[in-house]
Amino acid sequence: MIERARLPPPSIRQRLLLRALATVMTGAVISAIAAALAVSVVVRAVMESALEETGQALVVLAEHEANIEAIAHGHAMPALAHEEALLWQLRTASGRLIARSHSAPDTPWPVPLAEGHRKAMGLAVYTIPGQDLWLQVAQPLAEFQRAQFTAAIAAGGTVVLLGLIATAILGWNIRHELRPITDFARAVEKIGPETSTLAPPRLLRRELIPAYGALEALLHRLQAKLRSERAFAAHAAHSLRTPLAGLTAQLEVANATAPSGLAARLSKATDSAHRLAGVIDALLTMARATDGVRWRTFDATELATVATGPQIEVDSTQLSVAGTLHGDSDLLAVAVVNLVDNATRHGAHRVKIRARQLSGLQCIEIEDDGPGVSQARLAHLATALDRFEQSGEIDPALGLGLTLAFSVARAHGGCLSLDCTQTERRGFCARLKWPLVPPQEN
Amino acid sequence: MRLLLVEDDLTLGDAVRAFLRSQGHAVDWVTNIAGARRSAGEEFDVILLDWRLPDGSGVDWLRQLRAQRGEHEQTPVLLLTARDSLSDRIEGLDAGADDYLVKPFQLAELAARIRAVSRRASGHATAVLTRGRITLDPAARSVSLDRVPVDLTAREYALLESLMRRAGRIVSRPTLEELLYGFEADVSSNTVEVHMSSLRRKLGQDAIDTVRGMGYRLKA
Repeated sequence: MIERARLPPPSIRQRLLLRALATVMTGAVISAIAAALAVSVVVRAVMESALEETGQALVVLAEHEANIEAIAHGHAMPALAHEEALLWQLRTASGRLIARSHSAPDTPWPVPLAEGHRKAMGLAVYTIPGQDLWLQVAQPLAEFQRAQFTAAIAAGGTVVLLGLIATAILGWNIRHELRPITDFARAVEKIGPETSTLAPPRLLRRELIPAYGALEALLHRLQAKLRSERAFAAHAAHSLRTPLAGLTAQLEVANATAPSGLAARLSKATDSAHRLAGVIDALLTMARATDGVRWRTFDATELATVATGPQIEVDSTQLSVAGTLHGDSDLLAVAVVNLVDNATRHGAHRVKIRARQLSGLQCIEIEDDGPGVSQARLAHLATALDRFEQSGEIDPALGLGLTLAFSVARAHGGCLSLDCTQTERRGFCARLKWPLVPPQEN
Repeated sequence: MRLLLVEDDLTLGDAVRAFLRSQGHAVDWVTNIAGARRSAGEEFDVILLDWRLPDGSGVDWLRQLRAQRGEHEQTPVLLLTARDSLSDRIEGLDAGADDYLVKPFQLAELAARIRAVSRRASGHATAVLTRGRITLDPAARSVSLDRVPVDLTAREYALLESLMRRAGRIVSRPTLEELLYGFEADVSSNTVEVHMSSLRRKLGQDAIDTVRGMGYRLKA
């Protein structure tokens, strides 16, 4: 059968983190663009203002220098060769160029002599009038753009960086604030059959108090119900077994003194009473198996005492191999007793009981020296166990013993496997396997 | 053996008493803890105790009994109960029970367990009791003298078994009289002497000592 892969549902924490990241980063990007634009405009205004101020200062100086035309004759002012960021041209009212800066062209810029900012030849030009002369100062537009770009990137990058830091802080806060919910989920996950109260949460929030309260109340009700059911089972056991003990004892006593014809009938009645006792035991055990497993660590050799039967030789020497076992010793003991009883009823004279631990599993093996079953019968039993697990339908072939052993195994989160080698000294073999730890603790 | 049966179920108690009497035991049967308390002052070979009784827990009473009498209390107690869980068995045994039998049980198993706990309590390793030339097999209810089977009545057997289980010790006359109450309602003043005389005749005149004013003792 192909099992379809199912994706796990999304995590609240991850979704919150993603949403927070998206929100904060969208805001950060928009803010960064806005900041970059604003800073760019301001930088341009500052640079133009600086150009104006420079022009105003230079035009005053030029007008005080009477010989400036004689010095320059339309050429560049004498200066050492250098990289010039600020250019200027001094022109007459008619437009003639009478002096210029070192890197300024020797022809007038194609800009009309009117006060204000213009662009020409890749320059930002500011024209300012003097009393007789016009001064034009200019800066390369590339300088303007580089300054604007650098300022915009610095402003936008800072905003984006702040956004990332804010996201990280927000993420930490989200994780921290979701921890009570995570703790609650883990506390719920750890609820086992014997849990009667929840561990006090490390962090409690007001919104979770009703959930904790409701769950505690539910657990108390469940435990009360379990106690009541166990008490009922104990009471039922007593109520059924004691009269049955009286019945069987009376039959045995009557049988001892009865005439032969009646004795045979009394023997049959006694056998029926003993079988009825076995059925009651099995039913009570099955009821308990579905009621919950009381896990405890116990010595595997404890099982030897309950498995001893008068009609069969029980070799339990290999129980000690496992040392200790972890599980419901009562349920496991009843499963073992019933499997030994099964062996007796199916013609075995000797059973070996082994216990061991292998790769995270515990195993109890009951192997008899009886005639065993055919492979076809074995396959039928395996199918019947599967059907019992799937639908609860009990195949008559299983009998109460195997059904009970299987129920005990399932109650422990394990399984029952059957084997039959039919060699000289080995017949039917039942293996009860279950995990070392209760399933909910995995 | 003289047995105290504490069992509130009348059908079961009646059958157990009838069976054990048929096995040659004297059985005192009480149906509650109050009755058990009253009887506990007397000497019994084995106490058969139910766990759940109308006026309380048999196991609680057993704890009290063991605590009151301390380590010198040796009367073996066999718990008869419907409680079958391992934890119940452990609790019962830890409370001071010597064995544990889950209801319903087969009477033959009950008899075997009574013999076993009694044997352990009297310090005998084997099931067969041997004292000098006399051998008593509780399981077969047979007695032999120098390996020659001896025919004893149920009363004689009960008296001899009681003496053999307390071999070397004096068994008081009232104790032996109580033992005989299991067989006959009216035990006259010389009933014990009559049976002792019969036992001496079958086992030898010197087999049993009479300790004047105290009781009887099986000779070594």
